[in-house]
Amino acid sequence: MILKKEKLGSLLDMLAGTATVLVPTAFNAEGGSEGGEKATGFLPYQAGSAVDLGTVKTTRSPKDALLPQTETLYSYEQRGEDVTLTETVNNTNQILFGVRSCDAYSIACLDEVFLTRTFVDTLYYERRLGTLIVGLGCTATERSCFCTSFELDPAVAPGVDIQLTDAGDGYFAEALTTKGTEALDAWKPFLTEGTKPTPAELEFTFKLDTAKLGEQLKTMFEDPYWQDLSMKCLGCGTCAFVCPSCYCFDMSQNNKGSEGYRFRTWDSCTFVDYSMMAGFHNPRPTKMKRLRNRFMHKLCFYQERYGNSLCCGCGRCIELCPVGIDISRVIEDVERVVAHD
Amino acid sequence: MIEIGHDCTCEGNPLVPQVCKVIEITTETSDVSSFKVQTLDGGLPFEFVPGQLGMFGIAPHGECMFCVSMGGPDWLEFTVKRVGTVTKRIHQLHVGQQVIVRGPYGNHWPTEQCKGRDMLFIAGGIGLPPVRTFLLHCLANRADYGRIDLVYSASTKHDLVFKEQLFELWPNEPNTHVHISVYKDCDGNTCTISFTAPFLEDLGLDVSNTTAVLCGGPSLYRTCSKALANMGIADENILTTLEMRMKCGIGKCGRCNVGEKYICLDGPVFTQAEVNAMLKD
Ligand SMILES: Cc1cc2nc3c(=O)[nH]c(=O)nc-3n(C[C@H](O)[C@H](O)[C@H](O)COP(=O)(O)OP(=O)(O)OC[C@H]3O[C@@H](n4cnc5c(N)ncnc54)[C@H](O)[C@@H]3O)c2cc1C
Ligand code: SF4
Ligand code: FES
Repeated sequence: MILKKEKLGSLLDMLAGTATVLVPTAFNAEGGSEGGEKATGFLPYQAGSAVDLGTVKTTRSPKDALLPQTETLYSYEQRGEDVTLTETVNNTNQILFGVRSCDAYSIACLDEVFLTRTFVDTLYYERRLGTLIVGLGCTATERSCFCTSFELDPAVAPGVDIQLTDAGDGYFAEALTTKGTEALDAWKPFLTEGTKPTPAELEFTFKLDTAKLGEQLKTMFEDPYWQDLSMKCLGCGTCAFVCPSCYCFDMSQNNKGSEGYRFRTWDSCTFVDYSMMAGFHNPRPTKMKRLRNRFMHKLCFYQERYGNSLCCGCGRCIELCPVGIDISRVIEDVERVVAHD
Repeated sequence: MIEIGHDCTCEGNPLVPQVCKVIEITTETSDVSSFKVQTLDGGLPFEFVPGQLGMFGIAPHGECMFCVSMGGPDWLEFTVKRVGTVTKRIHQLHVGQQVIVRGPYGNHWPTEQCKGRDMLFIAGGIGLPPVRTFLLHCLANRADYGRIDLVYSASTKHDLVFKEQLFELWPNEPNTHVHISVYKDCDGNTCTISFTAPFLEDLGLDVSNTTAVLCGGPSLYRTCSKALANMGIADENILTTLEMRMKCGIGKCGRCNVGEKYICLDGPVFTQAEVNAMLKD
């Protein structure tokens, strides 16, 4: 079935009546920081929103929708000696609309972390259960895109409920899960008959060989390469914050009188106090060790644990690192460093 | 989306603690105290096996990871050294005060696999609490284990924890030898001033049948693992617990990794062979 592009607005209007629809939108389309660079993110749709399905990758990834930048875990209150806790409950009902393959792959990585391996993270689970994901196949690439290096198919987003494929004046919509089939039923009034178009042939600036990456990285753990690489790192955490799959979080509390709440917040292993212990003992006291851990986690440790790479090749960190530390170049360098060792 | 296989032992949100109360506080040293905690209705906060961890803290001040140092039918004990912000607050607790507790976390001492073996426990300072549950398990099931040696050291006599058990209870257990040493000034003559590592070789152990359990600071760890290797105890038969900064305790926050292992979930107990294979920072 085809969703004509002129019907997109009415579909989103209808969907917004049933759930929060998060769709790629320009932050500063009107007013705001005039003349500033365009930034995009998955914002709640409202009539008149500056929906931007043409942007290949949004500046902010859809990670916030499932793992918000800060999230209250529970609140507490102390009366006399008595302490009471009130748990946060997420009654999420949201549609992530227009998710690219790289970001969908990242959500699958988050699923592995938060939903498997002995413990289930309740707040993530609640959000995930209440989320319908609509994927959108890519028709163009940006210079920093390298998802095919991780064997991703830019035409089909892994794990999404409904996949959209650009068909010129419309989108071909197909359900890929039971949840998607049910949801697509409600879209019927906005759809017309049509056949699935052949996905666009995409050109990528580069494609890297990542088949042996994890193994190779293990052999170069002690290489001076990491020292050189980390010299210019600012430890600003931008790379982790813009990454759709970086999931590490910090936990802390905020008090006001006899009440307060405990919350979690995104964290970055490039921050100096990330693993600081009592007495200022820090197992990763140098930038070298912190940045090395970042790349090892993304490209080796996660794979050892969960079977696939924690980098999806979206290239956001490549574009936004203020000092130009480039994960694709690191991957390229690995071959050379290992050959030299 | 992944099918959820629930082998999660805790009901409800694993990051949300239960409110418990302190029922007893024992001052061990000038900066170490033990806290017995119980649920508000007088029950056990959680079931645990020796070696497992728990998050213990105070709602407005935060929580820290500790090994459960002892457990009774309706209480758990944490032995806490005062080192920083949260532990300072914990040390200001009084009996009856309400605290937050969650757990159990992590793997545990291989009590089953060690049956029939001689046990050599080596601990330094605040390294004894994590080892104690294993030692107590061996003593409670005395027939299952061979000779037991505890080699415990601290900077001074005042830094030894669990003094009553050390000096009065454990030495009287059958085939159990308690060796205590301090590195500095020793008033009274109950202990010798010595270093642990050289002492181990003189114990006359049947090394082929000995499992060593090692828990202490970096220097104790370094010197003793070398001594154990010299004595011919295989790396597979040396057990230790690792420590890393922890936040979630459930393998999600990413904080406590050493290589691809999460200490909170895959550890804290590892064999020396496993530790050797890790990519350590
Ligand atoms: C597996 C494990 C078992 C432990 N068992 C015991 C025990 O039985 N008895 C005991 O006294 N201590 C134990 N510790 C250490 C204890 O967790 C720290 O001493 C405590 O977190 C210090 O907190 P603080 O706020 O007082 O210190 P601060 O220096 O103010 O630390 C601030 C924060 O850093 C973190 N942190 C600091 N030091 C450590 C550390 N060594 N390990 C992990 N996180 C740390 C905590 O999140 C803490 O809230 C254990 C740690 C781990 C990881
Ligand atoms: S964005 Fe760049 S400078 Fe900032 S922490 Fe990451 S690698 Fe370092
Ligand atoms: S403490 Fe969070 S992953 Fe181990």
